[in-house]
Amino acid sequence: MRDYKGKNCIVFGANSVVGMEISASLSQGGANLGLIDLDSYKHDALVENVGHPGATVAYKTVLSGRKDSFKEAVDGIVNDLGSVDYLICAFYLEEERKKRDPDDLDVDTWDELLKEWVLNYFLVTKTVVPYMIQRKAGRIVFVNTTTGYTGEGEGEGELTGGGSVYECACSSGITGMMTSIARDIIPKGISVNGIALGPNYEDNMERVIWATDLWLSGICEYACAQILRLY
Amino acid sequence: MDLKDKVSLVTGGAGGIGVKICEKLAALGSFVYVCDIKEATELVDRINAKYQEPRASAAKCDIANKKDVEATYRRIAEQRGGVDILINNAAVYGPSKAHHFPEISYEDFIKTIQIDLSGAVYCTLLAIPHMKQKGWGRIIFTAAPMSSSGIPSPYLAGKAGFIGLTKYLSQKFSQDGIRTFALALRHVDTPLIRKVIASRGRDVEEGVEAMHKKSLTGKMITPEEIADIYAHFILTCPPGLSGTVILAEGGITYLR
Repeated sequence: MRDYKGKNCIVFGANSVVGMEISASLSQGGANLGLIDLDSYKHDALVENVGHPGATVAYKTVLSGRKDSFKEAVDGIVNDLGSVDYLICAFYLEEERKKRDPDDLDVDTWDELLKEWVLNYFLVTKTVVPYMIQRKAGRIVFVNTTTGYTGEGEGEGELTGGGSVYECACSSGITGMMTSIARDIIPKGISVNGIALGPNYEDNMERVIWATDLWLSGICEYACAQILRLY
Repeated sequence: MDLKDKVSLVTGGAGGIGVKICEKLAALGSFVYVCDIKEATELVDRINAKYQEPRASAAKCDIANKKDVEATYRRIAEQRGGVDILINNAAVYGPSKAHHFPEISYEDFIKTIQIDLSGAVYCTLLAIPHMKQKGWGRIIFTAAPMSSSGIPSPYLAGKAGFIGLTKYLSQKFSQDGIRTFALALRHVDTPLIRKVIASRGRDVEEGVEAMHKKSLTGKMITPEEIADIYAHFILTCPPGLSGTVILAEGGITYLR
């Protein structure tokens, strides 16, 4: 485990399995956490589980797709923590996947997922980055899925991603967005890299934590817009 | 094989690349709906004047508006049964100013991604039931490499989003006779690229020449060449090649 003492980290999607695991790992390494999600249902358990003695843990809920809501949440966290060193975008779709019918071709469902995933990633990043620019430093990790590369969208087998047409489009869309953002802000001292979760990622969480550590630690200081695909 | 009895819908059909695609598909015998937010009457008249029977119709539509897209599909279903060939070609580059991150506004991001990605998703999802029913369909995406640099984030999110879509759809609907394909482009010799150069305050001809030189082939791909590639795919694609994404950007992405 890496030493994150004194580092302030915002985790968007803190309620997701991957968000919670990353938050817990950062906290065990000594980081102060600002946790953001669309939902408050796991709030108490989350704060209790991830908070380590002596560290600050702030929790905010946001309204999906609402920039005023994101601004209020991020401003509040920065006020509590003092600054932001890292941003992890870890909103993930395990709950979504369960309720999606792979044969569903509904345009309204697309609108919903685009907002919850792509637009919210954009919003939280856009809201946090000005604080990083002020300090000319910051590291951002986008958690994504491999379905954007493979298109493997259905089934239960090991080689399938288990997603939907919406997830595959959002996933590769996020990769494109991340690449563009990374190239725009790396001259300002901020790195942006990604992790693409493969099937059965919940059984391989140590690899997710390893990848997160890699991007946050600065070991790969010159990596820009790179994605570790965890098949 | 020709495309008689096939109905095509080309989004962005009245733009630089779209015009050549529409002309090519019509030349192969398809009936083409020129889908664009702009007027396409001139193009439609030009195409129809070439042939004895009508081969084109304007489908004025804001693809960012799903109600508009649904109405367009209803009209096509009533007139011609449905869409057999869908070319997801429409795109906007994003705001001319403040398109870099984090300056780009949330409103501009949404506006751009709604056209560049959601529009294609709406068109695709609405096309599939008819294609499945007929056991034949072609869906093509005018995409971009995921790693293109200096391109606004919503534009690249949309274009890269096509790659996941192409791959998913090919696997999901291959047994229904539906084939998908994406052509990932960087610089294309179109009026749009001239507009982008001009918007950056550069001399347009010098800028175009510089763009040609960036490509290892010494020239940008043209809309005619893109139309030829699409026609080749539509006419000949074997099942095993469905879901393919071809980089057609003169070697810039990996070799420069």
